[in-house]
Amino acid sequence: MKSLEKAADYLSQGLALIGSIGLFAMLAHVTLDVALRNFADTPIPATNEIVSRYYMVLIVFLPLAWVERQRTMITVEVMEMLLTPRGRRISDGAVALLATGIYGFLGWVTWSVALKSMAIGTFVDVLGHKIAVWPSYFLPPAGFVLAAAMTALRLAIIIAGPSATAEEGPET
Amino acid sequence: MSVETGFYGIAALLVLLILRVPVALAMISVSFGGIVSLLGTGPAVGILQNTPYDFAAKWTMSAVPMFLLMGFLAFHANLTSGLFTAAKVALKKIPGALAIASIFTCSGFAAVCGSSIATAASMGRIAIPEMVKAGYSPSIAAGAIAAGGTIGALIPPSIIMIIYGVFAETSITQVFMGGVTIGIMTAVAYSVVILIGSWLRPDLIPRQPIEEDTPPLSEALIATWPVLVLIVLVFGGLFSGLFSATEAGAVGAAGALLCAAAVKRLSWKVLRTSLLETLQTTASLLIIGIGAAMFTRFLGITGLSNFIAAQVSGADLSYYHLMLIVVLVYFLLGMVMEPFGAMLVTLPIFIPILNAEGISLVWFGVLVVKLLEIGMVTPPVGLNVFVIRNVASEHVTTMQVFKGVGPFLLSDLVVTAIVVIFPGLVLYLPSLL
Amino acid sequence: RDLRIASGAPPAHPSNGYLYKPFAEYLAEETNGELTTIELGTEVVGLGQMKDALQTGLVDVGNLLPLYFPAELPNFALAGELALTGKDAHAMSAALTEYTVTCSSCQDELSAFGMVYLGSGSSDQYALLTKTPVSNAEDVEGLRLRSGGAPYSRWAEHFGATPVSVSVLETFEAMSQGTIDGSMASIGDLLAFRLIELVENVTLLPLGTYFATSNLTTAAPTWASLSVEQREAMARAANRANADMAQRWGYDFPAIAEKAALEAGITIQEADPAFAEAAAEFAIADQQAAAAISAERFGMEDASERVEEFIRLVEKWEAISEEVGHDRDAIVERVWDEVWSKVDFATYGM
Ligand code: NA
Ligand code: NA
Repeated sequence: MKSLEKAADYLSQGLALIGSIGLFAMLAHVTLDVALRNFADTPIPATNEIVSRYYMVLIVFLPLAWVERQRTMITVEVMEMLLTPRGRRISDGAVALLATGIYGFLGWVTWSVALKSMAIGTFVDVLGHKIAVWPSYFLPPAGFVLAAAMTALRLAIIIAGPSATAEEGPET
Repeated sequence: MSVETGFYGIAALLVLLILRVPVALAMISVSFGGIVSLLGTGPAVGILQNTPYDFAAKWTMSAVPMFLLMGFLAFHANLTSGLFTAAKVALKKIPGALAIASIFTCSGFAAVCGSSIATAASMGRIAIPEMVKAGYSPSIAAGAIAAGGTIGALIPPSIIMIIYGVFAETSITQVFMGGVTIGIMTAVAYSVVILIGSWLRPDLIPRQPIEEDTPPLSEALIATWPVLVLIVLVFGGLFSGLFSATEAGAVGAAGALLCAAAVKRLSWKVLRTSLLETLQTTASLLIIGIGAAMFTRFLGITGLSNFIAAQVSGADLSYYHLMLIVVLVYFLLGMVMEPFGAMLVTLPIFIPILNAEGISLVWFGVLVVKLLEIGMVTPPVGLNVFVIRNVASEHVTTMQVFKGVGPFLLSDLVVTAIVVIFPGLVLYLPSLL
Repeated sequence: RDLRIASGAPPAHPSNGYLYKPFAEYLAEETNGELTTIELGTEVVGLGQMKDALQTGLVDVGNLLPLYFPAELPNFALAGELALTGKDAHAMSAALTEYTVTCSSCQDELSAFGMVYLGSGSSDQYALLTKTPVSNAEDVEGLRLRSGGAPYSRWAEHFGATPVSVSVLETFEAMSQGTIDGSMASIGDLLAFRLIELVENVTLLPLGTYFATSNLTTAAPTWASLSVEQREAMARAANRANADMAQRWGYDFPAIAEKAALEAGITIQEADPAFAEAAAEFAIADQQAAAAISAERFGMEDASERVEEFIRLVEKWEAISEEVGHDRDAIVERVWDEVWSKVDFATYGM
C-alpha cells in the first residue's frame, strides 16, 4: 500500500506539473498572439482554437487526479461537526466508492467519444486551414480514469484500516 | 416530461450534498439519473459524453484561469497589497475599515476583470487572512469577499453582460453603463452592512479603527503603482482595441509577471505556487461548472421553462407582481443552476413579456445580472462561496462561508428592491450615451 | 406521438421563430394531430451539441450546422466552400435541397451520420459591414474583416484585406474594440448581433450567401419508426417551414435591418461597378478553388463534376425564383414538385 501511495503521489504531482506547463503555455501563447497581431500584424494562426481545444481541455481534466489526491474537491461541509470518527470513515468510504464509479463511468463513455473522433479525424477549419483536434478528445477520459484510480486507492486505504488514514491527505 | 422529476432531482441533489458527495459529482450523477428516468439511457449517456468537453473547450472560458492566474501572481508577488494598504489608510478611521477596504478593492479589481469567480479568488487570498488576524470572524470575512467578488461581474467588463446583450438583442454598451451603477450601489450596500455589523456585533466585526502603524496616505498611494500599471494595461488595452476581454486575462497575467519581475519579487516559488493554485482552483471549479451545465440540461428537459412560462402567462400582472415573480424565479434557479444556464432558460420567457409591457431591456439586463450574481453566493451551489472556501481553506468551511454571506444577501435584496422601484437610477448612465 | 425538436437558437432567430415554430404547426396540420412536438431550448441543446443530441436520441428533429462536421459530411463542406456563389435565398435553399436529396454520396454520408435530411435554407446576399466607408477595391485593402468561413477568407485575402476568425457572438466586442474593422455578413447581423451600434457603412456587392444548412435534420431511428405517410407529412411540413425560413432570413429580416440601419444614419451603398465586377469574377474563379479543396481534403475525385452539377442547379433555381417573383408560396409548390414529389418515402433515408 505504501509504495502504491508513493506512486500515486508521483503521478498526481506529475499531472500537476503538466497542467502548470499548460497554463503557462496558454498565457504565453495568448500574449504573444496579442503582441504579434498588434505590433507585427501577424497573429498566430488558430490561437482561439488551440487555446480552447487543447490548453483548456488539458487544464480542466488532467489535474482531476491531483485534486482528488489532495482531497480538495469542493464539498458542502454541512455535517462535518456531527460525524464521529467512525461515521466519518464510513462516509469517506461511501463517497470514495461513488466517486470511483462516476469517474470510471465518465472515463469509459468519453473514451468511446475519443475513439470515434480519432477514427473520423475530427478537425476544425480556421480561415481555410485544417487544424486536427481529435487528439484533445483523449484528455477527458485520461483525466477521469486517473481520478478514478486515485479515489479507488483512497477507498482501499479506508478499507485497509484507520491506521492508514491517520495522516490525512498528502501535502502538495 | 414533468417538472416534478426536476423537483425530485433537486431533492436528491440536496441529499447527496449533505452526505458529503463532492458538488460536481452530485450534480453529474443526479442529472444523469434524472435524464435516464425521463428519456432513457441513450440521451443520458450522450449528455454525459459531450458536456464535459463542450463546457471546457470554450474560448471565453479561458478568461477564468487567466484572470485567476493574474490574481494569484499579484498576490504571491505582493503586488495588490499596495492597493489594499492604500484603502486601509484612507478608511482607517471607520469601523470595519478592513472589510470595507476589501469591498472597494474588489470594485477596483472588477474594472479589469470580467468574472466574479476570479475577483473573489484573488481578493480572498489577500484580504481574508488579514481580516482574521485583525479579529474578524472568519465566517464574516469570507462572506464579505464571496459577496464582494460578485461586483466583478457587475462593473464592466463583464462576460455575462455581453452574453445577455447578444441574447436579448440589446445594447451591450448600455448594459455596461447600467452595470457601473449597480456595481457601485452594491459596494456601498455591502459597506453599510459592515458598518451596521460592527455596531451590532463588535465581536464579529471589530469596531475599533485600524490601530497598526500605517504609512501616510501619500506613501500608501505611491505603493499602489504595480496595480495601477496592471489596471492601465488591462483597461487601456481593452478600450484601445489591442485585445478582447477574453484575452485581457492572459495579458494581465503576463503584466503581473513583468511587474513582479520589475519589483524583484518574481521567484520560482512565486511562479510555481501561483500556477499550482490557479490549476487547482480551475480544475475543482470547472468540474462543478460541468456538473451545473448537466444539471441545467436536465432541468431544461423536465420542461422547466414551460412551467415558469405557465406561472407568468395568463394573468394580467401588475409591474410589481411581475417583478416579484422575476426575482423569485432567479433566486430559486440561482440556488442550483449556473448563471448562463439560468439566463438561457428564462430569457425566452421574460423578454416577450417585457417587450409587451414596454420595460427597458437594458434595465432588465442589469437586474438579471445582479440576480444571477446573487445566485453565485446562495446555497447549496454557490460558485463564489466554493472558490473562497478553496483559497481560504485554513480559516473556513463551506458552511461558514454561506453563513457569512447571509447579511450581504439581505443588502442585495434592498439593492434589488431599489432597482425595481426606481428604474431610472440604473438607466441614468446609459441614457447619457 | 410527441417529437422532441430543437432549433439551437434563441426565439428571435429565423431558425427558431421562422423555422421550428412553423414546422411544429405544419406537422400537426399535415398529420391531423398524429405527430406533435415538444421544443427543447438552447439551455438543453445548443448548436454545438446538436450532432450528439441527434445521434443519441435526445432530440428527434434538430437544426444541424453541417459545416461543423466537414470530415463526416464532405458534400456539405463542398457546398460551404461554394458560399460565394449564392445570390438569391430561395434559389440557394432549393438548389442545395435538390442537390442533397438526389446525390447518392450525400445520402450515404448522412446515413452513416445517423441522420435524415429534410431541406436547407439560405441567408440574403452578404454585404460588407464596416466602420469606414467602402466603395472600391482600394478601400478594402488593409481592413481586418471578420470571416465566417474559408471562402470569405479567400475573398478577403484576394482583395488585400486580413480575414479574422471571430465567432458571431464575439463580433460585437471585437468590432467595438477595433480588433476588427468590419464583418462580411448579412445585413441582418446589424440587428441580430447589435452591430448597428458600431457599423457606419454597408457596402452591397456579390458576396455570396450562407446556405450550407440542414434545417430540420431528423434522427435516423426516429425516421425509421414513422410510417411512410408520416414521413411524407414530415417532408411536407419541412418543405413549408424551409421556405418560411428562407423568406425571413433572406428577404424580410434584411429589409427590417436595412430600414433600421437607415434610421440609425448608416450609409448603405452599392460598390462601384468595377469592384462589384471584380467580386463577381472572383466568385466564379473561386468555384475551382472549392473543387480543388474538396478533392484534396476528402479525396472527392469527382469534385469538379459535383461543383458543375451544383452550379447547374443554382442556375435552374435562380430562373425559377425569378419566374415566380421570389414568392414563398410558389417556391413551396415548385420545390415539392421538382424534388420531394419524386422521392420514395418507403426507402428515403432508410
Ligand atoms: Na468586471
Ligand atoms: Na447558488
